[in-house]
Amino acid sequence: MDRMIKILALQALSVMIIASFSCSPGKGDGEITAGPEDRVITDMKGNRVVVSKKLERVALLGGPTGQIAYILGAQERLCAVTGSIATSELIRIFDPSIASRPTVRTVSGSVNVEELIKSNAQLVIAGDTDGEIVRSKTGIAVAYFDDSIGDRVEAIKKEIMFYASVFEAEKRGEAYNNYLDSMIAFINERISSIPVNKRKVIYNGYNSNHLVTLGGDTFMQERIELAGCLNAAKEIGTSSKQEGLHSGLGEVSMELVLKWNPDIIVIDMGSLEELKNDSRWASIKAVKNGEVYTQPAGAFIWDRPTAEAAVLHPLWMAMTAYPEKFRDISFRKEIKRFYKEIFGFNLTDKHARMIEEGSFRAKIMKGAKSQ
Amino acid sequence: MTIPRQGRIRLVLSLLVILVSIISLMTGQMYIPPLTIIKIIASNFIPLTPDWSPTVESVIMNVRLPRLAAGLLVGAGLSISGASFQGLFRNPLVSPHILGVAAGAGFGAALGILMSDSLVVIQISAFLFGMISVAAAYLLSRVYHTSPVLMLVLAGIIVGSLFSALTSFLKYIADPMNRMPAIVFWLMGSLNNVTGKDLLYVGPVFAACITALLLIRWRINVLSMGEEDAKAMGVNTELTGAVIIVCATVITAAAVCISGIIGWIGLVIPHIGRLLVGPDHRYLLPVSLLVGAGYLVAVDTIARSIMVVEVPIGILTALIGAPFFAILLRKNRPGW
Repeated sequence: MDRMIKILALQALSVMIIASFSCSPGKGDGEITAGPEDRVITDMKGNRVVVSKKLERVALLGGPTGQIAYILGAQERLCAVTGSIATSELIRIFDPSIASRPTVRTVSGSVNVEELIKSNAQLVIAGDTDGEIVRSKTGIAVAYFDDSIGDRVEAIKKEIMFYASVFEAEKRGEAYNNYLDSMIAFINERISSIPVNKRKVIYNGYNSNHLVTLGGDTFMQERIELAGCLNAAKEIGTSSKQEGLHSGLGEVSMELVLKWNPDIIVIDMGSLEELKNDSRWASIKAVKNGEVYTQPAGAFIWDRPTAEAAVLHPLWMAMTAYPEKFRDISFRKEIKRFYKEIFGFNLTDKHARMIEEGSFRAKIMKGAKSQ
Repeated sequence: MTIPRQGRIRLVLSLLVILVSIISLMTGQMYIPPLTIIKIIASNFIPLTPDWSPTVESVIMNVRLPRLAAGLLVGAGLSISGASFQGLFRNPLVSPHILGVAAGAGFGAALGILMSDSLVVIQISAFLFGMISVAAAYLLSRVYHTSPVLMLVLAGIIVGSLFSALTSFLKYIADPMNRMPAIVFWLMGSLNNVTGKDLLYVGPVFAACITALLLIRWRINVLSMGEEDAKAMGVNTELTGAVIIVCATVITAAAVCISGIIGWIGLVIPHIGRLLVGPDHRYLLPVSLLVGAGYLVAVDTIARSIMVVEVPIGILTALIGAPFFAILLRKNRPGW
């Protein structure tokens, strides 16, 4: 009996010891030894990470955040990137070299460790899952971004400033944040006088069946409200992971969309004609009034919490819903101004048109194949 | 005069299917009273002044009715194919997917999703590859001359694995943000995408194949006694087998192309049928058809009602069906 208790106690102890070693990612690094050539940065989880003062080779393993390097003018220092940024058609036009950077990650949890080591990165910036893989398999320093909150406007601004501190590009980070703030203020100034009962209901119908949407508990709720509109899917929650769909997305039934009867429908796949000729959709206000649109897409798809979409997507929705309030504004000009001032990309009229029409989306979607 | 037991069971099941169908039309994200439903449907044939909103009309005519019809057809088709296959292969573990049709159609759908945004293209591609995979399995089984039934099952497994691997490959190279999730989601099965137009094309196909299977159902009895005996009784086993395979394959491929892959139905509904009327295929096929139709409609009604977001029906068919089947097995031990 005594023996049993002893064995059990030993087992419990060993479990505790193992647990204490393997506890939450990025915690408990112990003392930090920073040499004269080093500096210390604080990541978004509050960890202090030592990096060289000459930080020239950084691997970005974030999905939608890959474009931040361009906003900060730090693209030359990327030594390895994630798939969605390397295959972005718009980015490739203005930085052809991105296509030749090693792609060391496709989705969360799938990191090509050998390729990452070969890229000789000094620092990896990643979310929890990817960061843990890199930590456990390589000796490369990892700074974590917070992928649990990387959603709403305030979180995006915080994230930008974190990346800015890594790349020592605080000025450009602030420039982006100011741009974002003034855009939100501008839209608000134009739409704030619209009474709540006159605000238009937007339904985002994604996927080829147009029945996948972002609910009231996602970043899209805030984005639609910033545009002075109402989210048809406000009452439903989609932020939990649904098997087979990207996080935040949920599929609803056709009759729910009929019940919502939105004023505006925005799709991302398929043709507008096909939807307009489908009898199931015919009784909806948006279809009757011809208010069905394809969502624009730039460096990345806009139904994600990216830096570009945070600025331009609410403007596009507001201009689409209330064109009479924005008669003096050209959306394509706004596109060109944003990418020039923030990304340093000189878009042609054709590029701006392609963004507005969403034609880059098809290329983003098919990008992974053409690799 | 009393109705014989077989007839009674069929009558009760038919009434149940009708009852489930009516409940299905009434329930969903909004309740619609039966009288309104009748008026809406009647207004298509006789002039009536609508006292209902166009939204309600659209929900009934464009969403619930097509979905109900699709549920009835897919449920009936999959169960009758399953029952026929189980007889043909003399094996209770066989489902209509055994010859690789689901794997082939799944690959076709994945290919369609990669190549195109259009639902129609995805459906046609799914149907074609479902047929191709079974044709391949059939031809492969002809290469060897021993025990045709066994070879057919093996060939089906070979072709099925090949197409599953190809589907996995497509998922691997597909864009992980949109296309890959779309493929996974599609493979889980749902009646959410059914339109009236789909039924116009697919409905007659279902009807023709189901009728064909019902017409030759007594021959399945003969086949299930074994090939030698069947031949001795003068039944052309090859031809009958081929007809069953073609009908069941067309049904399954058509089902997959409008609803994705819905498992469990084709495998287990025939067993429930057998518990009710025994192993005689003359009775088993009609009963399986009714049980399958009612079951899928019931489950689909739950799938679109319990949560505001759609629950993939493939999950529910198994989740509800499995315990139910276990209880039935416990109650009366079926003879196979």
